[in-house]
Amino acid sequence: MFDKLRNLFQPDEEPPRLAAYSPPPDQPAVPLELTRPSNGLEQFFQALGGQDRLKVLDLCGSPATTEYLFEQQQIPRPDPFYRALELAFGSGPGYLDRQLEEDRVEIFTQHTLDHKEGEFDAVLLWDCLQYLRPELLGPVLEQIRSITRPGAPLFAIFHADDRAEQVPVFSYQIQARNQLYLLERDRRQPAQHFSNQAIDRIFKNFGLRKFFLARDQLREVLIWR
Amino acid sequence: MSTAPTVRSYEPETPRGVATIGKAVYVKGQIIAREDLIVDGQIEGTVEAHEHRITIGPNGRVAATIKARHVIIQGQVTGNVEGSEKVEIRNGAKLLGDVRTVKFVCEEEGTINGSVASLRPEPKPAPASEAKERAASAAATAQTPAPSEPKK
Repeated sequence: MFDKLRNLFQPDEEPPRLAAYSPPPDQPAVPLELTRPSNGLEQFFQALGGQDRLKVLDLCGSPATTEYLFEQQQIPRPDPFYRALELAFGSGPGYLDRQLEEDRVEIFTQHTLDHKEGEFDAVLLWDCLQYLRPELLGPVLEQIRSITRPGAPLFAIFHADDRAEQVPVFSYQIQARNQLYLLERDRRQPAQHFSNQAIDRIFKNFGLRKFFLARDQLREVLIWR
Repeated sequence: MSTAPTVRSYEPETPRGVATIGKAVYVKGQIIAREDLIVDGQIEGTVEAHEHRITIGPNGRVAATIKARHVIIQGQVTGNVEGSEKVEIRNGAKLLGDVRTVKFVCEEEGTINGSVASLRPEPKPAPASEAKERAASAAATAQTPAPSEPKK
């Protein structure tokens, strides 16, 4: 599987498009998995400035990442963001429309991002922002901003293919300071596609933004609160 | 001719030195264990086994603060967990609360909603007399004049 993927990602070849990840209807879906180097993650750790016992909010909350951060002497705080998303809006078609229903939004906010003001020193957002409609994205980003201390680094990933109808929802696991293991756990329609300008716009209330070159159809962004 | 009577011994289901709270048991209050403890029932309150291991079994539903040397969670726990040696979250386990421990393991299907902090042994403060001696010696060093150049 890995060799196959590595061959697919040879630089002299056309990189695969995320749309191509959808298997033909007569074939069973095989979860996509890949290991990729991550410059964004490496710089996220550099931004922690060698300090330990920093409280790191992790919106993917994979056990491997929690263990990794713990071993790095940080204080990981997994947050059930994706679970709250599924619980409140479901995962099937129409989950974006359901984000307009107030009672569902209330369930969502009850289950995720309910933390104290300025509690976190860093945030791993992963690709979670991609599954929120603009109506929900604004308040969620404001909440994230309020629970992080000024100057805190935030690491986000955006799917770079603006033509993909469905994108893989990955479980992101930190394997090393500059290496990620991605395991597909679902596929869903992104709420919106983010160009660099769009990303810049949604983080206008934050500080500096640093964009990394897209690889494997994923763009990493480091943002400072 | 008589044969020696057969001695029938009672073998407990759990190994010696392990207490069990079965799945049909509900406890409300404080539990302090001086041996390993397996909880497969429901507990509300606090559970402590400072020198021992506490295992929350797959049927265990615990709403309590847990303190032990080694904590293994297979069921559901709501409350903070402190393991002076190790805390393990096994597949299917759900923990809603903070963890403080020296070694932390979470299996892929384990769920935790809370922070995980390293429990470092606090450095012991020096005894008062020792501190006084140190201060006195530091003062003496400060007052000692710098050695002068030897006279030729």
